[in-house]
Amino acid sequence: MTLYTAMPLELVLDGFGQEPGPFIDLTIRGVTMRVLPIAPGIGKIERLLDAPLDCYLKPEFSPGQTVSYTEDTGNAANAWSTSDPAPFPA
Amino acid sequence: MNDIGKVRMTSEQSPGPGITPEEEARRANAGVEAVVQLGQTTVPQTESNVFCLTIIGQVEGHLLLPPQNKTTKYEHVIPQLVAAEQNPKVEGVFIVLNTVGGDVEAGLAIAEMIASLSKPKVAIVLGGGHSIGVPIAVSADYTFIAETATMTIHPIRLNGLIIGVPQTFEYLEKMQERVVRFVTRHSQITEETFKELMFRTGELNRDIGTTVIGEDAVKCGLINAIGGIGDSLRQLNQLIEERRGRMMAGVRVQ
Repeated sequence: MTLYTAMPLELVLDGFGQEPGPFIDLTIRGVTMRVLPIAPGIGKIERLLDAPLDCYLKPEFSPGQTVSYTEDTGNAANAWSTSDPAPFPA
Repeated sequence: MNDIGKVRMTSEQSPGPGITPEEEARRANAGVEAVVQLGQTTVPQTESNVFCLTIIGQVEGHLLLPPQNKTTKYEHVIPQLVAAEQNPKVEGVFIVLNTVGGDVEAGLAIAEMIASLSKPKVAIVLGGGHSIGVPIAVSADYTFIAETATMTIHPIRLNGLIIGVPQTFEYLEKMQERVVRFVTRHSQITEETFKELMFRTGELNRDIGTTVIGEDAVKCGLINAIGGIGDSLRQLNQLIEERRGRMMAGVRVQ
């Protein structure tokens, strides 16, 4: 990796050794994505793993967007499925 | 809640001319679907024939950067550009840059992809388009820079474990040459001027190189014109019209 940046590398790479994640992989409306859990049932999209091409043009699937993946039966969000039955790690 | 078809998310927006009630209902449903299934409150806006691509923060390449960085991920941008190229509804690509640079491989990949799009593309540099942001900026058909925006042109540095042999220097030079060639091929700047800006001393306090501001970038041939969002979109719409005209005339569009 060669970084060509005007920012000081000590700022860019600060915390580089820390392992990112843990991530979970979800499938929502046919889009498989890697998500970083930020709260119970809520995750931030890290990247799309497998998606129809047009999904990349939709802002709601952009990295950094939040998605709800709760399987609460009272919530309509259970219309989609998750690839991991226990998505939020202990 | 289940009968989402009755919910009107875009009730404050009056439908434009030629929009049927079915189309209006479909758009409203798309908005509700995003809220219900993704838990997001942003709803799709009126469909546009222009795809807006924003390049912000660090251009992230093969390695995940630490979370304090705002990043543009090339593994998302590349399919976006492919989708924009093949989607018949997208007639032009508008690139907004405010980046501090990033990974050379990823930046050049994005720049090459933008340059090879068959649809009209216009870029605007707002704030800053530094380092690897320079080739991305010049990859469009026509480029604008805001009057106060800056572009930093400086040499590439190696980071990580470096073996102190002459070949390391040659490798570094080759990396740099890729950027120089791309920029000179896609803008009006000459190789001599670009390298002069890149290796100039006495301007940057901790490095060699040059920061060109707005008008300076236009004067040296790096950017086409000074302008804002309005100017850029006007230019893009003009290019789209010209392309439509060529297609109507049956000329094969390159």
